[in-house]
Amino acid sequence: MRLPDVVLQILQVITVLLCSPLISGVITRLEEMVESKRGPSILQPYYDLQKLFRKVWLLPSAASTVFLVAPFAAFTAMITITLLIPVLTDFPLPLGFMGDMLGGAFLFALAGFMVNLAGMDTGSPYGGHGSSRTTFVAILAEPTLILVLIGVALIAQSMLPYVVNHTLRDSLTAYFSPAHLLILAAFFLLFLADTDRLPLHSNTHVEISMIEEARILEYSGWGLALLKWASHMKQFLLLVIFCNVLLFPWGLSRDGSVLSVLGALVGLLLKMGVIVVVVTVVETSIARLRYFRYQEYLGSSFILALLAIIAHQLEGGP
Amino acid sequence: MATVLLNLMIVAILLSALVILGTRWLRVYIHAYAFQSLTLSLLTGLLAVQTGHGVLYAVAVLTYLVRGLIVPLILLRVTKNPVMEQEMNLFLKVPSSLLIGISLVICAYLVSLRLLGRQGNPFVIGAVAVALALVLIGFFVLSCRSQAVTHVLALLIVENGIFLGSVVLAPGMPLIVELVVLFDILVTVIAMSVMVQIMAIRLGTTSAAELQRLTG
Repeated sequence: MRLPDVVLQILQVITVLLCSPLISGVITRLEEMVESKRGPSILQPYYDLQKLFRKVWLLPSAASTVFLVAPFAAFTAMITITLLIPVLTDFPLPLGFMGDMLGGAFLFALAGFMVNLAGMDTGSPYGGHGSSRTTFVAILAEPTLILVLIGVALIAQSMLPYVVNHTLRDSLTAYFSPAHLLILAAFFLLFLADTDRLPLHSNTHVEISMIEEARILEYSGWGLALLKWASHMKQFLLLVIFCNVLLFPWGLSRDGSVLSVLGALVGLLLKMGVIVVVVTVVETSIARLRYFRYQEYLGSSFILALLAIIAHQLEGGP
Repeated sequence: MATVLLNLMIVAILLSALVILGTRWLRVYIHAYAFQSLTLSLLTGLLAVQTGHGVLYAVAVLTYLVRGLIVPLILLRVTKNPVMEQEMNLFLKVPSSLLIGISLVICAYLVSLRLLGRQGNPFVIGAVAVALALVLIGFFVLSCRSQAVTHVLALLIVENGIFLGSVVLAPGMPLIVELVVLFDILVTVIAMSVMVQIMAIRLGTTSAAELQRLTG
């Protein structure tokens, strides 16, 4: 039995909403285990969100409308991106054509921009610090992202995530082309940078070394919960794009029946498990880079993305 | 399928040449060079299967032995010295040297496209582009890095580039040429490593930037 498209679209959003804290929990738990500690339960992010949602959102006296709007903007941007990408089904859903991958990138940037403004809004030194650092990383990371998207567009001749997924799924030549493999590497480096992980950001919770988190220190209660949830979702969405579109384009529901959607969900979590293990290995085995050497890291991801485009040309691409 | 493999290999060769611009650790350079040579010998082997030139099999094996095994081992042994195990101080920093490196690659691609024409076999165009790029990157490293061991590696990368070009463009080359080249490499590497050791003992550094006078 084929589920109606509307139901599938809603299921997609629910998947992202409900599963995103889980991935964060699993990564934290695994990292603690590697460091031979017990670590919090993998459900800890859910407990945190539940606790925060029951609390009052206290507004600082200096806060303006920007401070109030930012959590909603970030949260809705993430939900909108969910509608654009193949989470469960490999056939496009009705709202999937609202925007292509560039549109998704814009929405990620919009969410980041709003939170950056909110960080500076109250005039607290840490907020401004966090915003400035996030912007610095974003300035270095954005060119890579654009080049990755161009590379993908060259391979698939389209920027729609569904089309990219189909191209890579159907053609092993495209999948194993050097351009695609280099894009995978560049995207993975970008993923680590965008989700606030090593080698750019260490997971010690000291304000001095915070990048993205320092922006939301002024938030409390359910406003903070929305922002935290949005950041879990950002990580989850980047993983979905990485897994479902680029790395493992197989195993999505083709006919939209209940069973195949369930299978796609389990498959998605398994695919993410692979990446989570890799992330854990990376995070527990390398040291944080000095602030002024971020450009070396992001520069190499830029070069990888650029090489992907050159490699596509070398192969005799158009 | 073979085309996909060949394409993967030439990009891997290009990538391992860029490693030398992207990090500050000598050890990583040597491993990247060993990896590059290994890929190069695999590529030669695959071309031998494809073109049917028996001589290429021998070339592949010899390449692996000398370039992929003996030379990296010698260099690893030479760099086992506290002077060379520390992070290098570069006068052209990593991002800018990577950017220059990538523009050299683009330049090499355009030249190769102009030389061979758009109608040519895309793999040959790509391989010649990578070969030219290796030569250019090698010369760039020679001119912008001061460490003596890095200079050896840059020369070896230039040589790898020429070898790649010769294998792709003239696969039927007599074995004796290849033997001469490999012997040359060995002599160069051994001579350079002796020189590096002497520099390390006499001056306490292996950086050519410290050399001020041309006296014996």
